[in-house]
Amino acid sequence: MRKYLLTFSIFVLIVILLLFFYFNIIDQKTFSCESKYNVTQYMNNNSLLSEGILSVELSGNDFLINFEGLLTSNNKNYIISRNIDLTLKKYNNSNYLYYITEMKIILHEHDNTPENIAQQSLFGSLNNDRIIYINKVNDDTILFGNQMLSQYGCKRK
Amino acid sequence: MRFDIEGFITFDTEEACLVNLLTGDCIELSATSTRLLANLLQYRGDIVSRIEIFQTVFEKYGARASNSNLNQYISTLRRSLSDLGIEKDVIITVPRIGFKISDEIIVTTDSDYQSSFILPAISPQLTRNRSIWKNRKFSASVLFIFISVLLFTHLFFYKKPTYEQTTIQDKCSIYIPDSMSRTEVLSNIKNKDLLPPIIDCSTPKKIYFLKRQINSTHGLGVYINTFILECSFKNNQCHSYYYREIKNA
Repeated sequence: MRKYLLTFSIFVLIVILLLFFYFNIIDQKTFSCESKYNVTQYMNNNSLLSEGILSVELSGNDFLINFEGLLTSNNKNYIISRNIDLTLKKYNNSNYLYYITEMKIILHEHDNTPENIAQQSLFGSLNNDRIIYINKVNDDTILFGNQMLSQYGCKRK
Repeated sequence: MRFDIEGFITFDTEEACLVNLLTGDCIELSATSTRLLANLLQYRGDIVSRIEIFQTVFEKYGARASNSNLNQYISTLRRSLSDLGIEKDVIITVPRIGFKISDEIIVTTDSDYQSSFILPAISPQLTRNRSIWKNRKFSASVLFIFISVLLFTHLFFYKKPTYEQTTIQDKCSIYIPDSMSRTEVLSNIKNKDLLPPIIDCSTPKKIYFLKRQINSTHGLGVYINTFILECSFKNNQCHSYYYREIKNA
């Protein structure tokens, strides 16, 4: 009986360890993706149009987004070229909502988009909304946005 | 002292008789025959020499010891056992040495009588069967617990997808949230006013669609959020479209 108990205990331990490795290591491997994007916004009398290419690196709690594109706001044209580096923490055990604990915005040389305009469609430093929506819909596609729903999506490279 | 032979013959040394438990037949033995059989049964498995038998069975009790005498008692015992139904040779003659109880004969005594005189013949098989059954029960228990653990972890960690595939339009597989209807999705995808490009479903694509709209009953204005992610299998590229319109009346 003791022999069976010992075998059973080892068996259960192995199962728990395998599950632990699966959910903590395999599930958190780096996810990289890229896609084109179009944003069209009409907010009363203000209009914003933007298009470009975005790429994402998601590894554990680190979420790095790169935007490269053009933006037009109220007939004024801008260039977007920036990295947004976010450190995330799960928000209230939600499956898709994360709290941004840290944000770094790295502007590249040609980025001339004012922060008050950028934050309307991106994750700007002036934005007080520190909740981000990230939904891994399957193994190779994620959707994310700053409005608690999808604004952007991309597929694994 | 009592001996059970082959499970159905009882030999009680005090009663000096052999009894067939199945038929109730009884054969009374002489005092010398009783001592002789008891002596052989006591040392069953071993060879008891003629000299030992002479001393312990005959001379000790004042009886005359001789080979012919001993052979006659042995013969009587064999006949008695045979008459009671034992077909095997219980007493084996070991030439020039003595006699022994056959190894094929099952003998139990008072001390192990509790374990029953039938069990020894059947118990090895029973034990093996019980062992197999026990192992099966254990394996089944382990399997059951393993499946339970898997189901539990699946339920615990499973994230219900917010996007379920609900419809196929031409070559497009369209994934929409549970909250949206199929007709609503199709009308939106074909609406060129809402999003600049009309989704072309002539090539295989995956479409993820989401729309939030407030239909103001009091004419307060317009609130529309629409998102489409169009992924082409052909060039393995995705294009996301986001449309947002918020206007007060």
